[in-house]
Amino acid sequence: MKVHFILNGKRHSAKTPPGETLLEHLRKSGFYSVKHGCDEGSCGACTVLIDGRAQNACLILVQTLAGKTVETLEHFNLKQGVTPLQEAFLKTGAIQCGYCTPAMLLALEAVKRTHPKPDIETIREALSGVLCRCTGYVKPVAAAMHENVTEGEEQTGD
Amino acid sequence: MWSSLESIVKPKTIAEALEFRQTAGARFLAGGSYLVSEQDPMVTTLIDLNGLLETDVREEAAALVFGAGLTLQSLVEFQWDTPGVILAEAARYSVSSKNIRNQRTLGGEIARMRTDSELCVLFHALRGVLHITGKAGSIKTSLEDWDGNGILTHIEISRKTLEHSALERYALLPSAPAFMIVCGAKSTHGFNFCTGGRARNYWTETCAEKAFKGEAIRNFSEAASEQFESDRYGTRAYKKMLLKIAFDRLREKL
Repeated sequence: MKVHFILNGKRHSAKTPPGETLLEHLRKSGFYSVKHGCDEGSCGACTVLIDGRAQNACLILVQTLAGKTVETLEHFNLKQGVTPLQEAFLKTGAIQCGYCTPAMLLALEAVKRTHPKPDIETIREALSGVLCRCTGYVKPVAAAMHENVTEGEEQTGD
Repeated sequence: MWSSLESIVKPKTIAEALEFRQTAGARFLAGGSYLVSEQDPMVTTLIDLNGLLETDVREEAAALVFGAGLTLQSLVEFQWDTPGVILAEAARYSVSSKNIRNQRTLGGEIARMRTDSELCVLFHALRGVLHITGKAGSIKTSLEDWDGNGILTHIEISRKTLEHSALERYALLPSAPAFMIVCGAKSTHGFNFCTGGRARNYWTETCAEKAFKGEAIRNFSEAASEQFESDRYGTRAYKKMLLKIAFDRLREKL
């Protein structure tokens, strides 16, 4: 069965078997920012945005996506190059192996759409679905907070 | 890849969904977080209920009615007045990952009847009423009495009972799954309690408000502790003590 949805801002048609997950489909289609981790929803390495909300691609069957909007990290890099949040991750050293980094960036992106200046609790909760095996969460949280400050400075002209 | 899956059907009505359910190997799909992670090889058809189930919360007389299609994250984000905050708290505890809460539905969580789900334990204590649509029509039933047949469309709770409800939980870390959950709520019938966690089953009890003290609390702790085993979280005697502390705290809160 063919299913149509919006992938990274473009109309996407997928002819997939019913049991194929979005994770499998995206990696097959060359979207390698979506990482293969646990395959059971525990680690969040495969985070994507579905209708603007962070979800695990390994738990979503492609055929249930008709009419929905899917975003991966590639979408943001094509639009903006290195995003301010990615810049903040680089500055604060929030990346070690980098395997969970795309998931963290997307989870934070989803939060920023509803809370442009999220507080520390909101940031921590946004990252609750992403398991980082090496750095922990202090630096990614610091990066998200840092980006809040930088954005504020830009807005006020400081 | 869920290799046993042969088709995903999208019914237009609840009646059509129930018709599809007659097929061997067919299962209902709401959020899908449980089903897709388990990939049961006996399942060959999924009946996608998305779009059929309501996703709102509405007030009807003295009751709050929740659409079964609400995601757990919607419960967290809902603009609750003070009494409803406990539902947000229970949803957050039931599933610590926001990603999963964005996907998992209230109906799916209730239908699973996991004893280690704070939401399920709380809805038991609140004496939630389930609206089920089956082949014979729509019925209302309690969580204890539902046999799992039909489609859960709404969950109804008394607003007043919700206003007088409390949750206690024990876990190794605040963000870890609880090994013991104790919920209580004050209704017109007295105090309702339910315990869960890493337990064989739910334990539920109702008692008159005035009788809920001293010996009754000791008896409840004894009875509820029978659902728990001695394990790495502690012995049964230790858990009995924790239950007594939880009941004492509920008595103060309620």
